[in-house]
Amino acid sequence: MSQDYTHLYREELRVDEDWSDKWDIFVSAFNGSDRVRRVFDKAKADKKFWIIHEEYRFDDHELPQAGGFVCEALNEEEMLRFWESELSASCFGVQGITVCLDATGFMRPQLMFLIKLLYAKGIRKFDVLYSEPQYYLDKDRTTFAGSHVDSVRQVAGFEGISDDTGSRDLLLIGAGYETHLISEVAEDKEESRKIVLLGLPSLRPDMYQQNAWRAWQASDAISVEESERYFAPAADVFATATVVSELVDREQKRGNVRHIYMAPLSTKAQAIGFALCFLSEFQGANISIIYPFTQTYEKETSAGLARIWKHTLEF
Amino acid sequence: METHFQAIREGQLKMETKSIAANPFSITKADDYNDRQIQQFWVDGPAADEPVQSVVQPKTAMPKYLLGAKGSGKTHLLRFHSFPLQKIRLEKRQGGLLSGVKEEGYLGIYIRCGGLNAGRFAGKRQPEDRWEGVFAYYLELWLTRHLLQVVQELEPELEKDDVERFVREAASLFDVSLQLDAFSLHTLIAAIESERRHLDVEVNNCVLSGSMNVQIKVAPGRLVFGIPKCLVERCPALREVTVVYLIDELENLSKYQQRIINSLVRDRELPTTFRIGARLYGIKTLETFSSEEENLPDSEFVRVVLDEEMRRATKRYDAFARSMLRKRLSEAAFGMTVEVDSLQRAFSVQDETWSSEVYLRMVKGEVSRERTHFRRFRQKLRRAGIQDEDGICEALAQFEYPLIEKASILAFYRRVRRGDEPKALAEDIREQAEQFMKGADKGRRGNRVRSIIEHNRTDLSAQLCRENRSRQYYLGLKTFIIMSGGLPRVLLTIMRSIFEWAIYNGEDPMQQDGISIDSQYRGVMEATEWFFSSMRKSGREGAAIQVATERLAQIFRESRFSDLPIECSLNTFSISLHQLSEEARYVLDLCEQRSFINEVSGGQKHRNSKEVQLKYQLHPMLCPRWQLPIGRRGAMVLSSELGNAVFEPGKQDVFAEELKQFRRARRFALKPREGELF
Repeated sequence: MSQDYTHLYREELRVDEDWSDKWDIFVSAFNGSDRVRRVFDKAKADKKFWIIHEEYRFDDHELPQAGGFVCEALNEEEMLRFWESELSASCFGVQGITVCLDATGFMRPQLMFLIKLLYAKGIRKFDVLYSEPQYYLDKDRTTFAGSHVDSVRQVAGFEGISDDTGSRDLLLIGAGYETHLISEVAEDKEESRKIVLLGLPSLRPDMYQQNAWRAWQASDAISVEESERYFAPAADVFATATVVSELVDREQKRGNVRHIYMAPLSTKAQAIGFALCFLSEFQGANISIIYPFTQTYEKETSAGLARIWKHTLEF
Repeated sequence: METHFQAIREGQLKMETKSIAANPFSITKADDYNDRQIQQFWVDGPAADEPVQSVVQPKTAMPKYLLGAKGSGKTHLLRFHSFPLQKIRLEKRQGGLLSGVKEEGYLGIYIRCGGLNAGRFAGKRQPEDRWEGVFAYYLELWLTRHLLQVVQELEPELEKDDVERFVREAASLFDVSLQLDAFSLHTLIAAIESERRHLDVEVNNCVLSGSMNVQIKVAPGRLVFGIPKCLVERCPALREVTVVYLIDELENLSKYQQRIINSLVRDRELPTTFRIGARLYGIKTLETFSSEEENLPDSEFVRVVLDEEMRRATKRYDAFARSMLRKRLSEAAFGMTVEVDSLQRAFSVQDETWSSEVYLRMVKGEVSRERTHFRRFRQKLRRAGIQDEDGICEALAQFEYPLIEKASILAFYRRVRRGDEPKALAEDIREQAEQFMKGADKGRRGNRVRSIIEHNRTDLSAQLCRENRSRQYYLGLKTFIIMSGGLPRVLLTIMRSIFEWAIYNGEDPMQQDGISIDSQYRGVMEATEWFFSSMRKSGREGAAIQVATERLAQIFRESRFSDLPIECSLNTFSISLHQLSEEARYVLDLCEQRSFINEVSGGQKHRNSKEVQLKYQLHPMLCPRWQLPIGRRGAMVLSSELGNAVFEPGKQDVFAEELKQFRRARRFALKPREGELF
């Protein structure tokens, strides 16, 4: 039975106003974009942490003065080390601790693993921010991840059980701008049936067309018919989680699915939606989240700050 | 009412097949086929009358590795031998499934390594030796579950007592009792499945729990070999049957995981054997856990590289390819018989002989003097200080036959460098051209124009296309088969792309010349781009492969479109491996593993490992991307400098300089330049 997550709390935080929220812990991932830095500065918290992803390849002089936790590339399990070295003393066992993550600059696997980690450590309610850009610097040609995919694999903490009873796997692709990532994932699971989830409504008016165009360019790898395309709002974690839940429920009822792979390659908000759905419904099932891991990631891909969304995840 | 339903069923069937008929080549991958479709579209081959078993040989005890590039047919072959396909083949047969299996002589147990999601058996703060034990146990359970599910399908035809005895013995193979409620196949499978799921949970959760609560209840190989033994001993009907584990996608396993598989291969016991499918680059190790021994080809296993075999046996592959395509068309054409040469006739081709009007159209009927090749020729004569350029051009001109003009110019370039008097040489070449055109020189040797037309026609035609901004066409079924380079999926992809364009253009592929030159051109260009982007490896290495291939193709292109091509129809090179840097050798190996280049037999290998000279051809599917020829003729020797510049990614500047020198050397000049011969 699918779940509806849209009852969960979602709120727009005004860019030009003070925020009433104050958290005990605020975690963000440092990158070159203005929207990430502005939100970090604006957020009120007792303790703030920067995650420095090695994928961004910052030079020393580009790093925040206060420093940050350097997270080894391609390794989402590093969030365990972050927890042990920085968070556990503050968070573990503390009743009512308030935590906020700004997802905007995070690598998706690390973000999802951190969410799983908080969940596993008993923090079952926390806020996640996501800030929308005004536009992407190269529009439909914007690249985020490096062109070289190191490997396509399951994200730690989001592995499903293996089941060989069905006849075919299913791959649900949250399709973003990056044709090569879509192709890599689709080729890795080339034997699977594919369905594509596009971001609509998109973050900004013309981004849907850009997204759809880029996804079409991977059509040879995807081999998907028009009827196998679905939509979920690009900036809405809960609507995405709801759509994913519905799709998976439908496929499971159809039967004959051996394993469902989900690849959130679109916005961070959609990736969180995938993770939320997985943690709420799919743990222990024949469903996994996979991701094409790249060695590098662009430091700055967007301009401006359009809106900031706060989603309160509750498990 | 029955008639009404009959009509609905027929209508539905037509709708379904009509959607297939819209593009009969829309499905190119074995994985996109269900079992019935595998059987439906199966073609024995490579030769039409060659039994398929001769490739896989499921009954023979010696394990076999089926290697090959993406699209070489490994999965197709392995799935064809799997039990679900055996079942389909045998279902119409009288005598039952069991006797059919007995007659076929084997039970095919197919598994995909991709389904194991083997990447999760690593890291998570657990030592590798812990993972070795856990993964070996998991694999044991995985293979056993598949085998038992197949036995369960045969159960209705087996004696009850035999089955119970079999289950008891199988359960007793475990070092720790399984605690079965009853000795039935169902309970045994359920117990094994429960054990496997427990492992799944422990493996998946250990990253956060910090530990794995796994008790390994059976030694490696005990079930994999022991259960088939129990089966044939307890079930008389299966006494002579071989149990074949068809393990596909080996490349998805890590090195230590492949060692586990290798150990099973090495330690195999009758009646069990293995057929293992892997990409060419997929074998990470041949080591085993048996005293650090390595498995050796022709000792512990036989190694077959499918596309290599296909490329070697060109006639057989051609016959197989045509059968495969005809079968697709027949299935799509509502069961109508498609004639043997229907598909061949469907493709429009053009006359590419030297006298074809195509070339005159290319130069747009311009007078010889104004044609691009003559304007450039005059420039070069001037630069070389050769007098009477008008007289020479007039001598070489053949208005109706631009290709003869090109051949004549090339003949002139070659001879004038040896000191022949230019005007006299031009007259002599004219004489030879006219003799050739009349056929008056047949039986006689020494006609330079004839020799050039025979050897360099395709290169000269390509030059004419380029000079006149015409498309370089690759047309006709035979061309596409050659282009596929022994990879059936590549051929299907070419056909799919072409048919898509033909349908889009409103053409009828079932009519003679129904598929236009334009559709073929567009389809081929799409397919070549697809090959270039999808066959490479992911990551930095993929980029290195593409860079090296680009550079190699540029060299071939420079030669092809130069005044003095180094060899005719150049897409092949030979190289001394010891002259290459370590990095260059590594990238060259990557290019070969990913089928961007194919090793050609006939390279010179010497016992002294320092003198290994190998020959490689650029994969023909890539050639249209750079307007290169697809057939293989001459080969050029790559020097160490050029070889390293091509295959070392960081050597962009060095390569640019080498290319410049190469280009200069191929330009016509009266005196040979220093270093111009490579």
